Amino acid sequence: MDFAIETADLVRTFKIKRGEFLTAVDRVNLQVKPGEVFGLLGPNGAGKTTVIKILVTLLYPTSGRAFVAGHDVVREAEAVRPLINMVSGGETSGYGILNVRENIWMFSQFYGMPGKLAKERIDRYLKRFEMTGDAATKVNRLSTGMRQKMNIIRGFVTDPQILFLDEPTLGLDVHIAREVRQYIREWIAEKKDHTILLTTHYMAEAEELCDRIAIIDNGKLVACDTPAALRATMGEGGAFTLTLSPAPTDTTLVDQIPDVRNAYLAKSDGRTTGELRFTLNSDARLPEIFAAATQAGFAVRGFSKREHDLEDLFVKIVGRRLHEDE
Amino acid sequence: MTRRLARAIVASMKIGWEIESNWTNVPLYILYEAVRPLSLCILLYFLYKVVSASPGADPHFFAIFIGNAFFMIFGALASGLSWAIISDREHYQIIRYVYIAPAPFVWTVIGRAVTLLAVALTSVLLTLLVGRWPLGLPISLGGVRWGLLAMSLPLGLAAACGIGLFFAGMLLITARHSLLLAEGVGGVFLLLCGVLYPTTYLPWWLRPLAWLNPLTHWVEASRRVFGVTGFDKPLGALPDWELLAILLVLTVVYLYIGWKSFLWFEHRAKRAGKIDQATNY
Ligand SMILES: Nc1ncnc2c1ncn2[C@@H]1O[C@H](COP(=O)(O)OP(=O)(O)OP(=O)(O)O)[C@@H](O)[C@H]1O
Ligand SMILES: [Mg+2]
Repeated sequence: MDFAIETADLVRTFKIKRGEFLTAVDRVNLQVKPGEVFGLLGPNGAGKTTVIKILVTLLYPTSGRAFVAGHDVVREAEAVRPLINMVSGGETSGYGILNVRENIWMFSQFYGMPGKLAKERIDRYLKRFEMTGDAATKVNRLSTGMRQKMNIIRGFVTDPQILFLDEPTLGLDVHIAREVRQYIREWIAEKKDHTILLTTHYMAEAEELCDRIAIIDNGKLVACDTPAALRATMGEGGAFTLTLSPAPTDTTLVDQIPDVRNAYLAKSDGRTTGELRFTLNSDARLPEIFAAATQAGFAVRGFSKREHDLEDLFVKIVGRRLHEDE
Repeated sequence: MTRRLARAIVASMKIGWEIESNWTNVPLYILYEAVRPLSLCILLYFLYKVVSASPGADPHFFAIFIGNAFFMIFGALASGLSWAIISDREHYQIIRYVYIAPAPFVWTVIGRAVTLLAVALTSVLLTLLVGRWPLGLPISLGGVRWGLLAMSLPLGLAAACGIGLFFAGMLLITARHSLLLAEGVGGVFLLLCGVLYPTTYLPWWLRPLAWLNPLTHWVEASRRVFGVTGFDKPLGALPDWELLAILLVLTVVYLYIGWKSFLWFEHRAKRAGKIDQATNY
């Protein structure tokens, strides 16, 4: 079978100073099937954008090979280009002096679309994204969110067989982000053999949209599977919060219990109670923890459990949270 | 494929046009383009007035005037090519999308420059009009050698395009300020190509460079279009057909080198990850 996207030991290094190199993409092997929505998930600087840049013929790999629709992105870039398009979120690109319709139209022409077809599609997309009223607005008068919506239309309007979305919802407000995700789902449902490679910071977005997810860290692929299978590798158990009175001053209480990981004290409200958080792979240890708490003189005032999600998997594999500020 | 390419080029021409006509008012822009060569001509006019009673009747002044007027086409085309890259990369930050589109990048860049070329041609006309009436130069429609113009002008444009592509390509791997370099080179060519004085005024070791430059021959041909001969002795000695043949050969060479260098710079930029890297200082 021909993959929509395939990479073989893809490596990209950048020269940062004299004699100093940074490996942005490190021996990445990807195989994305036609019709899939494939997610690349990783923290800042993981190499997601670099992978996309190579695949869309904007950058050469340092070594290894990459194929899009069976064409080598280096040697057959001309064959790749008519089949693809790309949207990067969080940027305000666009010909400011042209209006929304003209901007999208220009790009339809760079893809050689016949005028009538281009016009029809642009109208349809403007309507779909509730931008018909802004069609004649100059792009430099648009809000950032609207510009990004225009950018997204630009990506879809050429009906690419393989679409690259680099953090498409970055910086969008919740409402527009939801609208964009909704459209991505509609599009892929309607066009069965079309493929999307999507990068994101948002675990929930990846789970919602992607058939398969690859986790990338420091340029390396560290996991790749369906969201369900990835979650299953975490086993049962989850993240627990124990509200204790008086407030505990350290985590020794649970540290002695086998299987407890990542224990930490959350902020206590006043002096009477405090929260102790930890993860456990199996619920079987819970009675032991309750007993230990009572024995140590704490009263258990509250207890909650959150099932493992991909965020936890990320922590487990990568060793830190996806967003440092959480 | 050709139809698709034509669509892309027309679209780039439209962008070029919209960009230029939007940030300036077009007649004003044409005037602006003409100001530099015009003011140089007027300066020369008064310099000539010191030594000669009526510069309007002085064939040397006429030769300089024509050379100067036509040379501005080269400036406009060359800076137009560079400007297409700088503005897409730095200002509109859209170069990556233009680049990955199926239309060959080099053609979209050329399409963008065509607008500036149209503006420049209008400015040339304006300059010639100023030369005719206030300055009293012997320019008349009947005196123009149209056949020679029809052959030399396209060659001159092609040569200018080749040189412009070289510098535009260089911009792909360098920062924004190298636009100044490109402009500076325009000035050097003005001094080198026998526009303001005959090539024989150059030091002997620079003369081969001038003679191996198609712009030099194009300027000479443009002068002949208006009946000016003998300004540049060695070039003036060539019969028309020989001048055109040399112009043709040099143009083909320069266009080939310019085109290939552009593709080579593009290749380098893609290897270094610089296609869409804006100058961040
Ligand atoms: N042109 C370049 N020159 C030098 N280093 C680069 C270049 N492009 C990317 N890098 C470096 O390569 C690494 C990977 O960058 P990349 O943009 O692919 O990460 P990312 O996963 O997309 O991150 P983010 O989530 O912040 O967008 C980073 O450390 C980055 O600084
Ligand atoms: Mg990125």
